[in-house]
Amino acid sequence: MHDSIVSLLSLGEGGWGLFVAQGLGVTVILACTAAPCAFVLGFLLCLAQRSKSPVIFLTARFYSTILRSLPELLTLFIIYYGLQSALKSFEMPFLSDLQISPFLAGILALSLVAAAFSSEVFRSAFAAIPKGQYEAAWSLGLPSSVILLRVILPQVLRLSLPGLSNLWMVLLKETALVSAIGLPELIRQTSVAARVTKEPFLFFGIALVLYLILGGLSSGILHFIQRAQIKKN
Amino acid sequence: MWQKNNLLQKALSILGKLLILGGGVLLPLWLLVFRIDFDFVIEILPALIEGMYRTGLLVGISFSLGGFGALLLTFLRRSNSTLARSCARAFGELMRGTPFLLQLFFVYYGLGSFSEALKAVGMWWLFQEAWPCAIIVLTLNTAAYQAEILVGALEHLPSGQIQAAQALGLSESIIFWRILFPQALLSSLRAYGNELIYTIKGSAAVSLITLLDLTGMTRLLFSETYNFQVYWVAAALYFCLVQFLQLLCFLIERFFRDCRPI
Repeated sequence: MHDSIVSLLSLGEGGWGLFVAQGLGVTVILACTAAPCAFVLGFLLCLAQRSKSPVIFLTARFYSTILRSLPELLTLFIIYYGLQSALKSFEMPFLSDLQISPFLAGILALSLVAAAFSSEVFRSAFAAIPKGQYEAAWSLGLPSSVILLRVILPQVLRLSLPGLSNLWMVLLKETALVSAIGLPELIRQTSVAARVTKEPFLFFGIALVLYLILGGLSSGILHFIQRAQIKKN
Repeated sequence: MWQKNNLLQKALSILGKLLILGGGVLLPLWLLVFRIDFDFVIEILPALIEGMYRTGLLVGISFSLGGFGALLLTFLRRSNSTLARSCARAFGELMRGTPFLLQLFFVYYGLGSFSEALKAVGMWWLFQEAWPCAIIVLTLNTAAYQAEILVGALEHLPSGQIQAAQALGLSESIIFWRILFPQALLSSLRAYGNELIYTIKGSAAVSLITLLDLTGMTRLLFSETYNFQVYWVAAALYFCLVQFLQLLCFLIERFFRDCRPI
């Protein structure tokens, strides 16, 4: 029994170790690529929601509300199949031949959804900054771009750190959904391995443990960053 | 100099607004609203509503069963036994630290592979079909999150409440059920509403173990018709459901506003 488990998980011939590890790598890369995109987009979305122009404000509000109320899986399908059929419908020689890869669709969907949620985090962080900060910066004669980037942004980032680390954990778990459109990430690889070897309990159990390790690792790192931030101030 | 700068800024801002108006509002409107095939939408609507009913049923059962599970977990978390506390905490970490989809696969395919042992215990009927599996996993999942809400709310109650009740000589169970629990529920109404919405959104993953909930129905209809409007209708249904529940939560919260303890 033990021998068979070891040989199933070995990295060499006949073992699935490398196969599962590749999936783990794809999961990590997906999450690490989607998170920065999501936070930058979320910050822009938050700025748009603070805009005085009703067109920008309403559009941003509309998109963030929609993205926050649809299931992530449905958003993923809409982006994956929708972009493909939209590209086809243009009927231009170059555009119609383009293929949307599952990886691209996954990054787009995950980062759009996480952007909508992080815009809420940024919004509450902006609300927590006292008005005196703006007034002081104005009275020093700083241009508005400098006020935003050098005075307000560092404080907003610090205040939104707990919310953003929460979102990172959610994002890490949501990468599982991308297996539904065929991206060979952790769950896809383990379910292939489970189907071929007829050992679903073992392989899905390993995936559970790997996710727990990933979550534990990132929560440790995030704790460290937050503690360092608090110490610095 | 400053006038020129101002002009440039104004031009840029107008350009940006036009871009947002065109790309964010007019293009989607043209792509969606003006190309809707109403006959098709009416044709598929009954099937999608049926799927929505299944989603509602699944979430309704799981969320209410999960409420009882959360209560049990809360008792374990507040008990004096270290073993019970760490078991409840480990269960919470397992459920909240791994994707719902993976939990679903683990129970449906993983535990389902022990058919002989399960038949011997008489539990096979639970793991044989996809429906009971989905209900079990969703219940356990939401129970872990709800327990977290409840434990947090109980911890945030002022300790004077317990001391006052103890000074009056009330028994442990009366202190919990008549004093602490109602206040904790009231102060966590919003969190419960959010958790309900997360459960609905998360429940879409059950379509991947062949269940025909709203997402599953949408995938089925799309694979039959290849008409992308199915997805828009499903998105609209989900949106209405979630917005309706949010409104309901808001109204309930306002109704109880005057009873808020702290």
